[in-house]
Amino acid sequence: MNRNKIKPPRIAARILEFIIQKDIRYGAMGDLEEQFYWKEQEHGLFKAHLYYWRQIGGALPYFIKNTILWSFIMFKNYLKTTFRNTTRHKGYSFINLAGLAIGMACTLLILIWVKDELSYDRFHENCKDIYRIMSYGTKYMIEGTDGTPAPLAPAVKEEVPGIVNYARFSDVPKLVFKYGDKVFYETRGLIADPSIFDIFSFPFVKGDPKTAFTEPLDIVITEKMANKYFGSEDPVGKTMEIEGRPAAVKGVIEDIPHNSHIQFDFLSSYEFIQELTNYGMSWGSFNFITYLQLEANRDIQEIGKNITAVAAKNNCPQVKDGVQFRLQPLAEIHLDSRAAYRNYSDIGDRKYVYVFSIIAFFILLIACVNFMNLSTARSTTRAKEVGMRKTVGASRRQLIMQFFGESLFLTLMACVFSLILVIVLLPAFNQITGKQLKLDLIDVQLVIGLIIIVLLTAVTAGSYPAIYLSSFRPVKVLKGVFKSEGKSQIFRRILVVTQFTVSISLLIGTSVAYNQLCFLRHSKLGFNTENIVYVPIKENIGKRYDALKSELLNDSNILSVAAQYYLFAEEGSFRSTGYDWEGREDGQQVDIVLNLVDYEFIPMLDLELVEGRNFSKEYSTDVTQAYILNEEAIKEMGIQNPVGKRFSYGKRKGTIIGVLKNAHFRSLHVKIEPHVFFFMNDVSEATQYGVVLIKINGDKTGEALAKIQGVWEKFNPISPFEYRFLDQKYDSLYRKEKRIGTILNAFTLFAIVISCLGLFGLASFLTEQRTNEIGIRKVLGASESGIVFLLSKQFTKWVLIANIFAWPAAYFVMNEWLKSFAYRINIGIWVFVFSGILAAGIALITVSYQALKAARANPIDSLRYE
Amino acid sequence: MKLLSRIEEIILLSIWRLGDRAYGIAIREEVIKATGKKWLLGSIYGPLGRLHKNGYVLALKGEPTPERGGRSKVYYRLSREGIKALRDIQRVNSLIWNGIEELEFKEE
Repeated sequence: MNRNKIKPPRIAARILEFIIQKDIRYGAMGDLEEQFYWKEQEHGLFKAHLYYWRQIGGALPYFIKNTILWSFIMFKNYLKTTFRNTTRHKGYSFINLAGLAIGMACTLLILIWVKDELSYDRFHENCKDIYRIMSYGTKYMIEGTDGTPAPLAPAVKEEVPGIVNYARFSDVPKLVFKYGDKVFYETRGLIADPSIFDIFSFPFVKGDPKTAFTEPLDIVITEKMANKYFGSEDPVGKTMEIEGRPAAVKGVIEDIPHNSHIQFDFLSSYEFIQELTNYGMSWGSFNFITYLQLEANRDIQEIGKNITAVAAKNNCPQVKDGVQFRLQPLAEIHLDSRAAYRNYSDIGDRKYVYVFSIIAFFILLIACVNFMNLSTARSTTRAKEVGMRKTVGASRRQLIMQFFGESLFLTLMACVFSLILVIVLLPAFNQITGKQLKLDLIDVQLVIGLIIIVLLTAVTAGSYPAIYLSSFRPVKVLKGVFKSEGKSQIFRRILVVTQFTVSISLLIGTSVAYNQLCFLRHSKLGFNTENIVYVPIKENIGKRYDALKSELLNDSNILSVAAQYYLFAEEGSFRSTGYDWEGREDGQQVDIVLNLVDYEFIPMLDLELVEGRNFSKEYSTDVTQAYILNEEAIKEMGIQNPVGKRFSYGKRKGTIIGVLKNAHFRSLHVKIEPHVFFFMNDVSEATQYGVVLIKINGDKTGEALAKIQGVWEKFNPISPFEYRFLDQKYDSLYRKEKRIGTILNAFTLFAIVISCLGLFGLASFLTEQRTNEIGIRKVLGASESGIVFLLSKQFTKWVLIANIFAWPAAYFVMNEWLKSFAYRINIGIWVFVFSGILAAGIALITVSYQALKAARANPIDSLRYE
Repeated sequence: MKLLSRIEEIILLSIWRLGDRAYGIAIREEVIKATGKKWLLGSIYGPLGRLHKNGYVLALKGEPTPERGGRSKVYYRLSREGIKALRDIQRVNSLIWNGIEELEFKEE
C-alpha cells in the first residue's frame, strides 16, 4: 500500500491547524502526522483516527487560555474606545444614532407591512391547492372579474379531472338581524357551499361543520358577531330573526383573520338567498365566486381551458361571446389589484409592495451614508489612535475588525432605539394603513429580518470607515502632517449627492401622488354630490315610498328625494349586452351598465342633458318605454341623432328620450362606461340594493338628518336608521390611494430628516475644521454674509447636483404609477423645480445655521483655536 | 524574572536532556517518562508554542520525511533565555525547597 494514502482525517487536521499557534504549527502538524502514521502501523487505521481526534482535546485548553482570552481583553479595549469616542462627541454620536434608529425604524415598519401584505390567505392549510376561477374577456372587465355562474362549479367537478372540491360564494345585501332586543344591520354576510369548511381553514369554536347547513336558513356566525348579539350566552341552537324570518345559529367560528381576502361576519347556506330573493342561478348570471381545490401539481392552464369548454357545452351565453375562465392561485388574490369588482376586503397591490420595499432600502441607505460620512469626516480625530495602534503592533485586519465592531455596536444600539420607536409609532402607522400590525419579536422571520438589517447596516455603514481609517500610515499620522485627503472629500460629496437624490426623488413622488389625489377628489365628476344623503330602501319603505317622500318634503330643509335601484357609485354594477336599437348592425353588441331611477334623479344631481329631456310625468309612456343614455353609450352604439330612436332592453321596447353628458359615476380608476337609465315604477322591487337619495339644506344638516331619522323610524321600526353622505362615498373610492399617499408622505419626511441630520453633522464638522480660515478671512475684512455664502455654497451645490439624478428617476417611476389611473394629471416641470428648491432650501437652512455660527464668532477666539 | 509554569519547566528540561534529538514526539515521550502521566501530543504544543514565542527555545528544520506528509521535522533547542530561565528556576527552587529534609507530618 502506498504510504502517502494514509492521511490523518481532514476535518481534525483543519481544526488542529486552527488552534495550534502559528509559529510552531509547521512542526506540530508534522509531528502529529508522523505519530498518526506510527499509530496506524501499530493499531490500525481506526485507532489512529481516534488518536488524532483526541489531540484536539489536548490542544484546546491552551488555545482557549491564550487566543480567546486575549481576544476578549482586546475586545474590552475596543469597547472602551468605542464608548469613549461615543461619549466624547455627543453631538455626532447622537446624529449617527438618531439617523440609524429612524432609518431602521422606517425599514422595520415597512418590512412588517410588506410581510403582512404577503401573508394574505396563507393561513389556509390547503392554500397551495386552492384556486379562484376568474372570467376574462368582456370588453369592460378590465382584466377579469371573479364572477362565475352558479351551475359552473358542479358541472366542472363532474367533468374535469383533477378537482377535489369546490365552494361557491356570493355576497348578501345588507340585512337586519334581530335577537331579543338587539337589532343591527349586518353588511358582512356571505352565502356559501358547506364545503367551504373542508377547503378553507375557518375553525369552529362551537357547533359542527358537518351539520351546519341542514336547513335553508341556518347560519354560522363569527365570535365577534356572537358576542354582539348573545354576550355570554351559547349561540348554538338559538334562533335569530333575519328580516323577520327565523334563522337558526348552527355554529360559531373564530373571527376571520385580517389577512384573509374572504371577510364575513355571518355565513349562510346556498339555499338561503333563494329564500329571501330570487338570485340569478342560471348559466348567464355571473353572480358567484368559485373556488376550486385541485389535486397537487395540476396544470392550471389546462384546467382553465377545460372549464371554459364545460361552460361552452352548457350554452353559457357569455362564453359564446368570448369569455374565458382561468384559475388564480389563492395566495395571489390579495395582491392582484387588476382584477375583481367585488371584493370582501381591501385589495392590495403588488406594485406598492415593491415600491415600499425599495423605499425601505433607500431610507436605510441614507442612514448608512450618514454614518459613513460622519466617520470619514471625523477621521482626523481617529487618525492618531490608528497610528498608535499600528505602532504597537496592530495589524490592518485587526483595525478593520475594530471599526466594523464599532459600527456593529452602534447599529445594535440604534436597533434597540428603533424597536422602541416602532412600538411608539405602530398605533399611528396602523391607523394610516388600516391594518392591525404588531411587533412580534417571537416571530422567527421577523427576528431573522432584524438580524439581517443590523448586519447589513453595520457592514455598509462601517465598510468605508474601516477600510479608509485602517489604511493610514502611522509615520505620517503621528508626525501630524495628516490632512483629510482629496479622495475622501470626493467620496463624501458622492455620498451627499446620493442622499439627496433619494430624498428629492421621494419628494417629487409625494408631490405627484398628492396632486393626483387632489385631482381625483376635486376633479369634476360631472354632477353634484354635495349635501346628498342616502339611506337603504328597506321593505317597509319600498312599499310606502310615496308617502315617505311627501313626508320628507314637508320639511323645508329637505330639498328633494330620489330613488335608485342601486347606488351607481358602488363598485359592483348591473350590466347587460341584451339591447337592441335602431340601426344596429348584425351581431353588434354593447355592454351597457343599467340602472333604474325616478323623476328627481337627474335634477337632484345636476346631471346635464346634451339632448332631449328628463323623465316626465307629462308623458305617461315614460314609465314603461323611455330610455336615457349617456354619450359614451351613444358613441359605442354609433347612433346618429339618438333622441326619438328606437331602443329596447330585452322585451322592454321603447325610445331614447334623452342623452346625458358623460359623467364619472364610478371611480376615476376606470374609463367612463356606457350607461342606460330607465324609470323605476315600483320602488318595492329595489329592496335589495336600492337607495333613497335625499338632498338636504347644507346649512341645516343636523336638523335635516334628525327629520330623516324621525321619518325613517316611523316608517320602518324594524331596521336601524343608517345614512351616508354621497361625497364621502366618492372620497372612499380613493381610500387606498389616500393611504398610500399618507404613508409615502411620512416616509419622505423621515428620509429628509435623516438626510438633514447627516448634512448638519457634516456641516458642523467641516466648519469647525475651517475655524482658522474663517478667523483670518474676518480679520482681513470678509463680511458675515460673505462667509455664510462661502460655507453654504458647497453644500447647496451638491444638493443641486442631486437634482440631475433625481428628476429622471422620479419621472420614470411616477409616470408608471399614474398609468394605473384612467384619468390622471400630467407631471408638470414645476413639481420638479419645486421639489428641487425645497430640498435645496432645507439643506441651506440646515447648513447655514452652522455657517452663521462660524461667521458670527469673534475672530480672536477662532484664531486662538487649537 | 518571569517564572515558568511547571509543564513549561519540564518541557524545557526535556529539550535540554534530549539534546539534538528534541522534536515534538521525542519531547512528549520524555515528558511522559518524567511525569509518569499520559500527555497528549496536542497538549504539549500549547506550552511549547508559548516557550517558542517568548524566545526560550529555538526551532530548526530537519530533513523532510514521508511519514510526516512531506514535512520536515522541527527540532527545538534551548536559547540563551531558556537556559537563563532554567537557572532562575533552579535558584528559586533550591531557595524555597531549602530544609525540605526536615519536613514530616506530625500528629498532635
